[in-house]
Amino acid sequence: MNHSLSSNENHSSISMEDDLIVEEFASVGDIFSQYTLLVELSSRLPVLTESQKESCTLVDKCQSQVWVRLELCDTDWAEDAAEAGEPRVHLIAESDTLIVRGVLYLLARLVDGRSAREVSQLEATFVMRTELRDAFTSERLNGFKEIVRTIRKQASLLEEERSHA
Amino acid sequence: MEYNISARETNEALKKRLQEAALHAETVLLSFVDADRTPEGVRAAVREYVRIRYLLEEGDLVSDSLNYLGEASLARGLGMTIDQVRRSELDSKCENTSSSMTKKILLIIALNKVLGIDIDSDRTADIATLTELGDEVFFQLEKKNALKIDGQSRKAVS
Repeated sequence: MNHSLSSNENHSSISMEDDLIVEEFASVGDIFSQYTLLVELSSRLPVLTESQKESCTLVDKCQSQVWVRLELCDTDWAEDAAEAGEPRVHLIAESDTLIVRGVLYLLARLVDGRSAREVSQLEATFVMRTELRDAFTSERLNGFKEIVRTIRKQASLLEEERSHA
Repeated sequence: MEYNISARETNEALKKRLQEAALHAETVLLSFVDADRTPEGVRAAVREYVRIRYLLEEGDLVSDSLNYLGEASLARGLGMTIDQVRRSELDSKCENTSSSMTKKILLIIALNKVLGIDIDSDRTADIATLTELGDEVFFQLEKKNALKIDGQSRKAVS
């Protein structure tokens, strides 16, 4: 697997990155433009094969089908992480719904290149702080929270495994 | 699998394109509506507004159907064919609303805001074509104008 992630290499916090996403969406304009941006970002999320999906967790309580898996990076793209002794993670995710794929792309942006410890505290608020919230039903917003909870849980497990290793 | 997610670098070109489209569409809509407040003039203005906001070319407007135009817009944005968009939409309608339908709803919200009109959600659900949307916008502008004249008359009388 070739990771060419440049994300989070200079250690901005997750909340700073979350703020940047909010700013970017606000700068695009009204809800129509923000929705268009989200849908177009969906095409940047790599498409998973059926077998890759099987290796992921199917997130509960989502109206769409959403698969996520957080894995440790096996490359040296974050040398500073190795120095800190904390391997970094990246998010593998997929959904059958365009806007959810867009959301997953943005979550990967928040998560990729960070330590499992950081990701276990993940707070992602960009949907609620942009006009996108009005394009989501409450059920969809709950699904979003469930995705974040699943990522946090997987990060905690990775961190636990690491600390016991 | 190759991840090429460039953090802090959401596609600047895309953002610029969306910003410019919103501004251009609004300018065109307002100037058209000011210049020709007839049903035909308003229909033409709305048609152009939709085309620009959907990031479509003139040649893409081969149908009056807003659903089709929404699909064409998604196809362009995602680098897919319209058939591919339809197939993916069949599998993944979100709360039974396709992305092309959501685009229509959000577009009408944007139109309401720009023109200071109020096409409500029930009427929005019924509007299926560019022509129907143009006619509804014309009706709403006439209503708004009548209310304005009525308000001015009452003020003059009192």
